[in-house]
Parts: sequence; C-alpha cells; structure tokens
Amino acid sequence: MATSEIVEPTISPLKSALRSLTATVTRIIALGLTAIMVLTSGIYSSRMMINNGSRISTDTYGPWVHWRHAGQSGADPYTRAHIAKGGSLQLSSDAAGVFQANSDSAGAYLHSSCDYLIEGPYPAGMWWSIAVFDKRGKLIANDAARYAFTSDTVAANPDGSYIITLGRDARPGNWLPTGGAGRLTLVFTVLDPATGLSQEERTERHKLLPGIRRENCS
Amino acid sequence: MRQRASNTWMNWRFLAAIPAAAGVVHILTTLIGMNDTADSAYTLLKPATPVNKMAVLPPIAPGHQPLPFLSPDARYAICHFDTASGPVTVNAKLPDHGWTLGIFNPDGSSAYFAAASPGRATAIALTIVPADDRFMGLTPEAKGIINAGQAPLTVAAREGLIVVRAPDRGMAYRAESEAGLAQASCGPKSY
Repeated sequence: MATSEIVEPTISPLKSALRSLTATVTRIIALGLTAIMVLTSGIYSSRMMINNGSRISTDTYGPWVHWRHAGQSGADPYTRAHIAKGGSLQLSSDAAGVFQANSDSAGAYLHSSCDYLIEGPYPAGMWWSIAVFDKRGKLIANDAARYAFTSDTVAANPDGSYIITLGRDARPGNWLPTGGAGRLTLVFTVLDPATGLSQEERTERHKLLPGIRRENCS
Repeated sequence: MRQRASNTWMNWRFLAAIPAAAGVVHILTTLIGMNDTADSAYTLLKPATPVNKMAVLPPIAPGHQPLPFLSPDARYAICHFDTASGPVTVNAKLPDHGWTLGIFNPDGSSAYFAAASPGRATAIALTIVPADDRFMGLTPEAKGIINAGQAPLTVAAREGLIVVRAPDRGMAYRAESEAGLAQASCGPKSY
C-alpha cells in the first residue's frame, strides 16, 4: 500500500527573518503615517475653526462673518482662542456687532487690484463704522489719510443710506484707498443702542450690513 | 478562522481610534490656543503702556497702529492695570453715543463693558479688585469704614487693559474727544 506524504515547503531562517523584519518596518511606517494623519487633521481642524470660525462660534451673513460670543467671559474655546491669538481688542458682542469680510458678496476674495462698491441701508440711531485693512490687519497707507468711515463722517444719501467705494484711484464721494495692499479685509462695527438689543433685534441687525459689489479689476 | 476574525476586529478598533485620537489632538490644540496669550492685545500693549496710568494713544494710522485691526474710527485711552499691590480705581466720563469703556483680561475676554447713551453723559466709577482672595476683608469698606462717596462698581480681575474709546466724529470734534479721553483716569485706590 502506497502512502502519500504532503511535503511542507521549507523556508530558510534568513527568509523568515527578512519577512518578519519587513512586516515590522511596514507596521512602523503605517503607525507613523497614522500618527502624522492624526496630528495633522487634529491640529488643522482646530486652527481652521480658530482662524476662520465655524457654525459653533460664528454667524455668516453673505460675505460678513460675526463671532457670536466675542469678548464675552463665557465665550466658547474657539472664540477665546481666536481673540487671544489675533491680538485684537474686540468690543463685547453684548454691546456691539463686529463683522469682518474677506470676500465680496459674490464670494471672490477682496483684492486691491479691484474696485468695489459698498452699499448700506440707513441704520437708524446706531453708530457704525467701516474700515479697510490688509489681510494681516494693518492699515493701508495713503496720501489722503483715509482708512475708515463712520456714521458721523460718511456723506450719506438723502434717505440715510450710503455708498462707499474701495479702489486704488481717487474718486469723488466716500472713497477708501486700497492701492498696493493685496488681499483686503473690511471690518464693519455697529454699536448697539445704550438700551441694548433684544435677541430678535440682534438677529435682525444683520439686515444693516452693507453689500460689497465688485466693479472692475485691472 | 477565529484568529482571522480577531484580526479583523482589531483593525476596526484601530480604525475607530484614529478619529478619536484626532479629536483629542483637536481639543488639546484648541485649549493650548485659548491659553496662548503670546500674541494677545495685552502682551502687545503691556511693554508700551505705564502700569496703572491712563495713556491717550496718538491717532491710529499706518506706523502708529499698536494692534492688528485696531480701527482708526476712534481715539483710544488705555490703562494697563495690575492689582498685585491693591485695588485700582477707574474714572471716566462717556459724553455721548459711541463712547465706550471696556476692561479686558489678558486673554482678550471682556471683564466689563459700558457704552454711553445718545445725548447723555455717562459717568463711570469702578474699582478693580484682585480676582483672588488676597484682599478679602482688608479694605476699609470690609472693615466697616463708611465710604463717603458713591459706592463704585467692583470688578474682579488680576491684570489687564482698560480701554476708553472715543468715536471719530470728524475733524471738528477731535479736540473735544481728546480732552474727554485725557480726563479718564486709572490708578491705585487710596483710602
């Protein structure tokens, strides 16, 4: 009677050691890549939410971003980190609305190579201001020494509404020079009346925000 | 077969741990950012402002802009206060709408904020006391000594900035705004 034997392939000890080494190195590389992915995604998502805001901390009205709890003692961690990191002195959102825009109403970045028209309604009884900065928050040097308009200094239309132009070349009316600044940031500040605003009035306040329309670019 | 199932389960557990670990990193980064005051307004202004003394800043312009996004739509008087050696008093008159007074903690959060009413001057009298209990029971008021004047508001804060803001109402009002800011004061409380 013939017996059949299954012959196991023999693996040399060297090959076995090589396979084991390769597996270990692969594991180490995979763990390293995973650790990098974990760190990158954790840090990046946090930085994004601190720098640009999110639904947790900001309200967005067209191009305008408002940090909901800016300056409040009970602000969320993202707002507190944004304020601490940004180096700005934000008016408390309990008493003022501070809105920032880096883009026009169509969503394109504001840039000094373009001219813009900022049109706003009449904010009855409220003090407001609009100022233009470069993307790092620095004022843009210009011969006219114009950096901002307020409800007291703007030349308003007969119905109280106003039009402000942003551009490199001088224009009649409410012109804010932007020459050579590159990316721009607009800050619109509106102070609440001394009697304060109800929650409904505060949510309606965004209707006072001006639109930002790009005219032309060169 | 059992070994294979166990390995698969281990992989799922490992995959589930990745977003959880990223979440932990996210939270830690946010908490570090919240407490990192290296670039805060307080850190930037501290070396340039005297302690417990109100200073009127020159008009904000390129080259004279101590903080990013500090708007030239207003003039500012700033006091860097420190209550390490005792309470600090703050007095200011906010003559009209747009004038504000804010007390900011080193991380930029607001400890106190007041805004003037339209057409009516608002007088602010504040005492900033240390946020901890070092001075608890040691002030004359706490010892029962009657304060002859009107009792000021009390704000608890260790150190920070007091900012009086006068809105820019145009050239004709600039001297008036500057005079109003110059009247604002802060200093160690005397008994």
